[in-house]
Amino acid sequence: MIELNSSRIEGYAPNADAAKNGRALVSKNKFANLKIDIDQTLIWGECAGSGKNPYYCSADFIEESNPVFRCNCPSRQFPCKHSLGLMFAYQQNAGGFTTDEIPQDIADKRVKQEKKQEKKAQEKESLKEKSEKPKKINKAAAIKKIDAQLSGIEIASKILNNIVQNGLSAIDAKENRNLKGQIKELGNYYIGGIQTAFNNLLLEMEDVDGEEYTTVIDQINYITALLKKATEYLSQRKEDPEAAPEIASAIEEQIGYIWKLTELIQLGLWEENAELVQLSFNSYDNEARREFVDEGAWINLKTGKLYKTQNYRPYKAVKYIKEDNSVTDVLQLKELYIYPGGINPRVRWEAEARTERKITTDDLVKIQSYAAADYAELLKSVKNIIKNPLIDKNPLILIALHKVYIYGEHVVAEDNKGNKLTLADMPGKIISPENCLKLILPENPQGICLLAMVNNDVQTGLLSAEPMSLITPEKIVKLLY
Amino acid sequence: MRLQPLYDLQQEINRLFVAGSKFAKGDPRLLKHVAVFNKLGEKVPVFKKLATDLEELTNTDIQHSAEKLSAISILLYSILYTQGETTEEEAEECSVEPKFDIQYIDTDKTYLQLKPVLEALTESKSGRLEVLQDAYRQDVFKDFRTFQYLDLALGDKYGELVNYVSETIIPNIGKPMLPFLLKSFVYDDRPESVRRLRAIGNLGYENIGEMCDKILSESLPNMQAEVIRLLSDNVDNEALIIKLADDKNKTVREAAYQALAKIGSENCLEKLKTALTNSKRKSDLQAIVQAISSTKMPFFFKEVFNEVKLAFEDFISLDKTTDDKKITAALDKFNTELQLLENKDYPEVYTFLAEILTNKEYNALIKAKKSLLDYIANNTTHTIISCFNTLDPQKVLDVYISLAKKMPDTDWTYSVWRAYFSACVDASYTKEKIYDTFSEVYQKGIINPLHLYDTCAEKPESDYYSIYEVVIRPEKLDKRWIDWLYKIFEGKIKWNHTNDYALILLNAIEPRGSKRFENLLILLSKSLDPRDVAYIFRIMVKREIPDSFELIYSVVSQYKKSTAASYYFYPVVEGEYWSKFPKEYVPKFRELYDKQKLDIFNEIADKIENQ
Repeated sequence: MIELNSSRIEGYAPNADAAKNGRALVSKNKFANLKIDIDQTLIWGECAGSGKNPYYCSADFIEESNPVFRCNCPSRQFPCKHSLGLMFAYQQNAGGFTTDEIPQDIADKRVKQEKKQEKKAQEKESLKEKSEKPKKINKAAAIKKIDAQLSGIEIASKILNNIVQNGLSAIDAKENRNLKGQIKELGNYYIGGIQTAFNNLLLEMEDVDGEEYTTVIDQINYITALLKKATEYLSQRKEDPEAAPEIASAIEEQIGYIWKLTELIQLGLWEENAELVQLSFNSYDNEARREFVDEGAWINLKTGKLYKTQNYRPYKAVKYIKEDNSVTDVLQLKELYIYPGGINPRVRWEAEARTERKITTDDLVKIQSYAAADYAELLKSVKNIIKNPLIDKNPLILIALHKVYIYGEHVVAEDNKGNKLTLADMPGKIISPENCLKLILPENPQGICLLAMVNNDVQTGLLSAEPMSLITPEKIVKLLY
Repeated sequence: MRLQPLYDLQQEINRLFVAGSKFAKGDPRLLKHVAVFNKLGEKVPVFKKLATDLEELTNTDIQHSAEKLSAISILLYSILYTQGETTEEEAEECSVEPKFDIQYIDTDKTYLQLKPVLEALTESKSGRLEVLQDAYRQDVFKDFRTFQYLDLALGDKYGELVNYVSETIIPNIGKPMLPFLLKSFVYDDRPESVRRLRAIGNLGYENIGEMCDKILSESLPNMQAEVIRLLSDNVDNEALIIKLADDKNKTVREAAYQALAKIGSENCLEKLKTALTNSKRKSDLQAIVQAISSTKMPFFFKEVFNEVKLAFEDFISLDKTTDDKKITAALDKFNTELQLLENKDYPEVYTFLAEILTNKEYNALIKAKKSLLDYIANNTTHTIISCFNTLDPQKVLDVYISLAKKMPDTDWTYSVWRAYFSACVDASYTKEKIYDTFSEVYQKGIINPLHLYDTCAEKPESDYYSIYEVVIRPEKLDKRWIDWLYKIFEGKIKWNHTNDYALILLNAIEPRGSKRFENLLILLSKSLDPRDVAYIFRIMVKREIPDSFELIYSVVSQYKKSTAASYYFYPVVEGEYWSKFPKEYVPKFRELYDKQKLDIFNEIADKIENQ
């Protein structure tokens, strides 16, 4: 039995526009010859396009958690609007699909798909076996790469030195163009992360408002620390390229390394049979990297650890990379891969290794049990972590609410020992999660916990947290997505 | 507790980053901090290190200054990140006042459901209204997270979107919108604030009275006009509104006139009547007339009616020797005051409106000064029809029937014929009766294919639709019109929209294979401009006229580069009929491109190839 609802179909869509266009096809009655197989695992039909012949599209749910969409249209979006429209048509009127035998071409494709899955499973098994064996490293090539990186870092250090020596006020339009050219050159030295850090610096400078340079200087501090640590780290690696990479910090990724799944397995950065609940979701434009980032905030039901997922969609390929959607169910993952470093490490998994189940009140109770009841202890550890210039300055925290009130302009949460925390929006928001919070927070908030993002404003000296989601014993109330 | 020297030093360090570390050597402003941190360093070693580093920085040469400054900055910022206070200093504490029960908050919509909606409410790309309409149908606005964005959208620059948000979505959400509207409401005179006030008032906010009092006490005319609209819901505000009808601001007065008409009490209508006859308020005449025209005027009707009649008599008492300005002003005044009779369903109104167009003096005077008065006379006829449109349709139809018999045949009476035609269609006259009544008028060109089209066209409900989405019901049209429709295409044709409608009707009426219609299409395809011929091509292909592909090819192959700019051919190139063309035409069009170097041939070949 195929179970479809709007949010599930929209979840399959590569982006919101594709879902919208798929829905429009149904409202314009573009579908005909709608069929379903006797086992109710496959739907297919014809969709009128601009040409003489209709498109033949199908949605195959033989593997329910990993449906296969097929269509003979030329679209590079996947699934295309025709397959999405077909599912919307089924959702709106399943009775309009007549039972028929599976067309031969789809039956053939199913067989092929099955073989492909088997092959993939075998490959994965061998991957695990492979990961258990030590990886052979081409020493000469590794040293050559490190040398190139160190040369790049030397250039980067000179760029930074010039900026600091001559002052930010000396960066006029011409100098900005010069800097952009120099930063572009850094792309030739396998130090993409450092290049992004410089791009971020230029963007921060564009956003300077009223001679307030604190965020720019914070970014300079980050680059200074990054260049220093990267030089030390790479020099060490050069001496022993076969040594394991550092996984206690995110230095590899900060320099620009992109981790492969096999490496994460090899380094033991994975967990079996994990269950994750998404507590919040957001999508933003990372101009420095010229890409959109879909970011999910998750909690591990077994450990209470807070994770992030990041789906990068470069501007150039934005139409063809699936946009992540927010998730309301509990994800059950055969394997969860965890990236090194960070307070809230980045995680990923493979789509076929994922199943879903509805969230229960027991899950919510469990999530609440992980919420910090002692703010002083929590914030002390947060402060200790964020004082490191290379660490994300906006970690996620989960706190149990004991008492709340308005103090001045903002909401303040208090724990049972009287420790306080101001809940305020991050700067530059057009919409205020804090305002929403003020309208829904009950006078007695006990039994509710809050997911928030820490923001320590070093200029005003206020350490606050932006509210993201409230977890009640019955549900998750999301203030973002 | 905030350690102020750290924040002071941060300012100094920031300043040095902006100016450049090259100015650090011997900087007296930095040196001041050395002493402070040396003192603090007696208890906390890290401050001692700061003091030492600062001192070194002031002694360092330019080449090493950047490195030193950066190191101090990292250390300072690291300390600052451990110093954050978790509450602001000395603020007032009060309890939270939740406006929603968290149990009933709906935040169930997914990111992909919300994203296009929130973008439509905050960005400025095209197609936003459709996104919102679609979302409304799918109940997306039940999600609490949309409320703040809806409030924000009241400041949008696209009027239709704002209207949809304020008139459809927000009223549907109801009172839960109030906290958001109130939070962003400000007492200023921007349209956005006026819309917010209207929404707050319409949602029944309990303290709206206090808001109104504050607005009326300030100089905010647009806001005050909105307040008057809100006050007009309650007859108890009669005295206040009567007073505001004498306000010094025109916007306020105009709103007050409308409110007086809406309340409709004797006192209010008396005030309107007085304003109408008050010679001091000539600039308000249009607004007063508009207000009076919206009410049935249960009181003082006679006085108002006499005012109109007086204006008419004033006009017809003039003769062609009268000064042009005076004569124009008199007809203008009559035309304006005539609107007062809208919604006045009294027998004398029907009689008077019918009399105007049959009045000998009236018609003679306009005829004598036709070039001067023709335009206003036509407007006056439209005003008469507007008045009729607010009265009883059956009685109005009777008036039209009698007028048709005795109305003079002048161009300022033609629109009455068209109104009469519409009234007959609305009264469900049979198609035969419509033909018998109007075929003669059609021949004179008073009604045309567009009017016939309206009798049998079923249009989509949306305001914006393509002509191709309209369904034509040919059975609603008398077959005798066919010959008249063909006549349009006889002789030399100057194409206009009327021809399009005639063609649409013929296409709907004529059966597939009709030689007469096919010949007409072939003839038109050869003689029309690329701008107009696309629709002909479309019908030819759709009706599968023999050799239609070849006919179209032969017409298009005549297009020359020198004829016009490429956009001139755009309607032809964009036609969806190319997808029906056999692939053998691809090389033929490519060959044409090679010969003529006209890009459209390649574009057409691509379209056929990629079908």
